[in-house]
Amino acid sequence: MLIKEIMTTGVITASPDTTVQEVAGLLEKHRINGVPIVDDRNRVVGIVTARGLVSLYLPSYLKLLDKVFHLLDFDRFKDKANRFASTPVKDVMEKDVICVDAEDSVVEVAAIMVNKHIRQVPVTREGYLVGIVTKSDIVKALANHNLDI
Amino acid sequence: MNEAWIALGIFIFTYALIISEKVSKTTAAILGAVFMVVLRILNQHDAFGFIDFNTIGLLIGMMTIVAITRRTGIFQFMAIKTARLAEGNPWKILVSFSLITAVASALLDNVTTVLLMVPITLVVTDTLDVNPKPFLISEILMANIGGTATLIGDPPNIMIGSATRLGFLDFIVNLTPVVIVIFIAVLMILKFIFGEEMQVSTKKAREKIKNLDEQKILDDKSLLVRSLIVLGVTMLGFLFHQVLGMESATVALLGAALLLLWSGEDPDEVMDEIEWSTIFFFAGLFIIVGGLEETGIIDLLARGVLSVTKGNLVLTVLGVLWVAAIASTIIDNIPFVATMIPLIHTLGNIGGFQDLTPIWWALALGACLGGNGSLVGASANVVVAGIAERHEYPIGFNEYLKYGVPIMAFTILISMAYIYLRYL
Repeated sequence: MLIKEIMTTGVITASPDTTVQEVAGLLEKHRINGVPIVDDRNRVVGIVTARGLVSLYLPSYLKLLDKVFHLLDFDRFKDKANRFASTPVKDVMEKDVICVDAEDSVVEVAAIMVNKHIRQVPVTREGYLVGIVTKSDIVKALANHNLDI
Repeated sequence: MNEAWIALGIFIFTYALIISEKVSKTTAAILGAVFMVVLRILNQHDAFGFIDFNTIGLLIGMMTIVAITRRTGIFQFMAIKTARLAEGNPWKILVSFSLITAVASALLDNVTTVLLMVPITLVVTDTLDVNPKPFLISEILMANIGGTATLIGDPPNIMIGSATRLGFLDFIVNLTPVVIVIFIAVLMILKFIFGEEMQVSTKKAREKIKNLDEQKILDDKSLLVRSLIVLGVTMLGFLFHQVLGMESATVALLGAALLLLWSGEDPDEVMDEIEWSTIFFFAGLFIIVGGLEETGIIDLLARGVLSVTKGNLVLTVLGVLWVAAIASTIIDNIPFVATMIPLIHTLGNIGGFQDLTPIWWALALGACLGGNGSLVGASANVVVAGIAERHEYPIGFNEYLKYGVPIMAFTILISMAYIYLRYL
């Protein structure tokens, strides 16, 4: 089975100059976990995920901490995130986006998602965005097609 | 003579690679070491013979103990406890963090110490809403100063202890006193530089610090107890290793084996945390310097030094102290000390010095404290600067020099007075 058979088309996207606040609104309104950021020719230049937005509230040295999370000062990071609200997403988006091709197999994309710990992957054809596939799409495929991937 | 030139060429090439930072220092050292064998300066058997396995074993043993002990959170616990006791006063917190950093560095390696202290420092300075830079700079300085105090505190000391008959207790008796003086003196300088901006903290921030809960950090009490007991036994082992006729690596590896057994931690995971690149860096350097020894370059250098100092002990000691300090400011102190050790041994053989001990202390103080001079002087500095850079508070190379060079020079002056009064 190929990705084009299970992907969602009509992807919710945003331009690099959209504000963080607006993108957060998109995530909330459409109940999705990620918004691909595309240029004016519909090529993927980045992605903003719910995880990425939440991490704006967290200190940049989070990775170095272990077991002292309860000591973090919320006020400090709330201020920081408030500052980010009006920032264009191009300043905070993840720029190294993993994209897959519409002709790739589902099992390959499933492997990428699990291996890279990502929940959604933009689908492109010749570099242009044509869809998005999420873990739930794969679960759905599993359920409907009786593991025929 | 031809061989000597090749060996010298490999040595200079390796040093140049390390200084250029174009490739990792470990890659440079392995490359140089392999060339010593490929170009037939040393045969493989002799090359491996030059590796000081006491140094390697001591490093691996201590890294294993630390890898397990750090999981208990004891260092973060102490940091938060003292921050609360300091009632959120930034200067008092800086002093207590400096003390924890210095003591931890004396017992563990400096890089581990700063890796544990810097994140918790950022948590506290964020809570207090104060500039973390004075804290980070003082932790760099104190890691190197504390590390100077003991045989196991800093790589130069590990190598010196391994290459001589000087044991753990000798380092404590001869270096710890002057390190305590230097610690206090540097704190006074820091107070002078940063004292004013260290007074402000809002009432709200102080309240927040008071409410931090350090007990929650210690979530594995049984591992904590086991780690502390083994660490304590290992320290006792170090204190008596000479009496017991044990090399320091034996003590460290015994501690490591006991803790692996008693904690039940997965050795694969623990070994992942050992800095193998550092271990290979040491091994490579030992072989490269071995090539210099074998071909007579070290002998030549030693004669050169003697022709300058005319065999005068005072001149030699003070020369070693300052050259070590300046060299360690510019390059990593590990390759420098690896080169100096056979050089000093040779000085002893051909220079007729009765007692080399003051020269060894000068090398230890110069190389360890010299590491404070610049951001590249010691591994701990590089690590702190790296974290600071990635986390919004970059410490510039030149910015650090303004503090590093004068403070380093001041600590070397204290060391000079100490060595002169006590040994010469």
